Amino acid sequence: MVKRRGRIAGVHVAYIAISAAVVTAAAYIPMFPVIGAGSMMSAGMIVVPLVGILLGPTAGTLAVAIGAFLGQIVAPYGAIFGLITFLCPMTNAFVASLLAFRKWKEGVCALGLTILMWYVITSIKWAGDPYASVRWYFPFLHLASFASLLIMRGKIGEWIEGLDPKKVPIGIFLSALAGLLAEHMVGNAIYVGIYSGPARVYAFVLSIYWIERLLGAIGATLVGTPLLIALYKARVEIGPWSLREG
Amino acid sequence: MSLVHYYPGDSFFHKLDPRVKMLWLACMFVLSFIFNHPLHLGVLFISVLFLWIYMKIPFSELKLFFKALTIVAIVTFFFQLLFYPGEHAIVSFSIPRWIPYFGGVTAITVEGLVNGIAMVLRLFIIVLTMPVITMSTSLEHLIIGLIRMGMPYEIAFAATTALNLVPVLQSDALKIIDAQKARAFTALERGSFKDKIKAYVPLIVPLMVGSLKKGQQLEVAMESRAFGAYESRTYLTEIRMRSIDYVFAAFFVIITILCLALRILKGFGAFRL
Repeated sequence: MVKRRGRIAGVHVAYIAISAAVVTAAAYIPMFPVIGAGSMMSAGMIVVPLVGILLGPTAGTLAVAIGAFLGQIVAPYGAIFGLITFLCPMTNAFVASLLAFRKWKEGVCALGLTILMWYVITSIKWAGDPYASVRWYFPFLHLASFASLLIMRGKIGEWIEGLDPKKVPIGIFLSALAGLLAEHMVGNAIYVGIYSGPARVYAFVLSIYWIERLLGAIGATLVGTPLLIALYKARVEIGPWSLREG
Repeated sequence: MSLVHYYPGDSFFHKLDPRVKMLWLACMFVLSFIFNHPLHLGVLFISVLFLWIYMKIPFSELKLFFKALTIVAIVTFFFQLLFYPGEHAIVSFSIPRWIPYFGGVTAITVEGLVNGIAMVLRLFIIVLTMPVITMSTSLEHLIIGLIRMGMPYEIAFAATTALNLVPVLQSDALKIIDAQKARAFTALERGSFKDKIKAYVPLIVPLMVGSLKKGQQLEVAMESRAFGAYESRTYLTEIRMRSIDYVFAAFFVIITILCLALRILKGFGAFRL
């Protein structure tokens, strides 16, 4: 294959730069408060999986990594994981993009690995904690998403790529949800790993996280459906449809 | 958005090579992670604060960080204080089991208190170390440092372009909001929760479509200037490792390895009762 200059995985650097800027800017558009954490969920929650879905597993993940890394460098006030904060949104974009770009097996594996990471880290950190059993059922939505991906298999990618207005929302919802849940799993595993978050805290988090993640996925669906169709009509040469157009 | 600024200066930390500063950041991250004794974490925290003062960073900047982290720190501290499993009680009490989430908590333990303090210190160390680099290094030097560390030029270009575009996109977002307000669309400000969620559609869709259209123009402009035609590039600003940079790099690495070895072999920096 001939290497086209100025491109990464077939996507021009210009799109990666613009998308990274969108990710950084979206992180400062507040959406709703996180109960108990004293922070706000940002529009980044919607934008991150969409950038993954639009640019693909390599370019999309890279754009989100750059955008999130820049965000934590220029405004590190909320970067509670320091240098590695950007890994969470990066995982989100990676999982969502794999599913959208017909790499469902890799997407399922990536989500599965994040769940496995949660079990491994909590098993180590919560050894001897009387409330440690919460770890088994805490990722109930993640496991449900994992199961749904196994049932849907490659259909998610086909639906998004097909741009059928009835099927695109389902495809975006499932891929964005999987991405957001993978991000959530990584974030929580890091939190338990770095800050020794006690098991009992997760009984509280358990009752709210699913609302927040579902809202994020619904937001991504509401924005992503018209966005994908608009970009296709505007002949912007990115998106899963570029697979069928070569 | 309140951005962290570069504060030019002539302190030794300002003059260090950006790669050495990155190494320092990584070492601080590792050290803050391996220690869980408040005393050791306290020393790290004071060393970071000392750097802030030594570099003459305005106090207002530090205040912004403390303001942003206060609630997270309080929540972290109280969760550790109440829920960290410990055996040595300081205060015994009983929260009735019917109280959701907190029911059944019977004591504040030494382990919970110590761990709470340690985790708050770790939080401040982790968050306050990164701005030390941003405030002591110009973006140009930082990016060149990353390129010299092996980052491909395309990625560095994307990062600098993105950084320059963020204010443009923020201004675009404000324009879209103003245009919608002019058409009496105020759901983003006054709508119900459901309306607010829906209101993000007419904000983010035009913002992203407009941005990606800009991307098309940028692509054409870059192609017309033969972006990426040459494998190697030259830069207006060059950075070079001096002997003092090597000395400090070696110092940071040796200290970190030493602490890590002592932590594993002798339990150095670990809290035990």
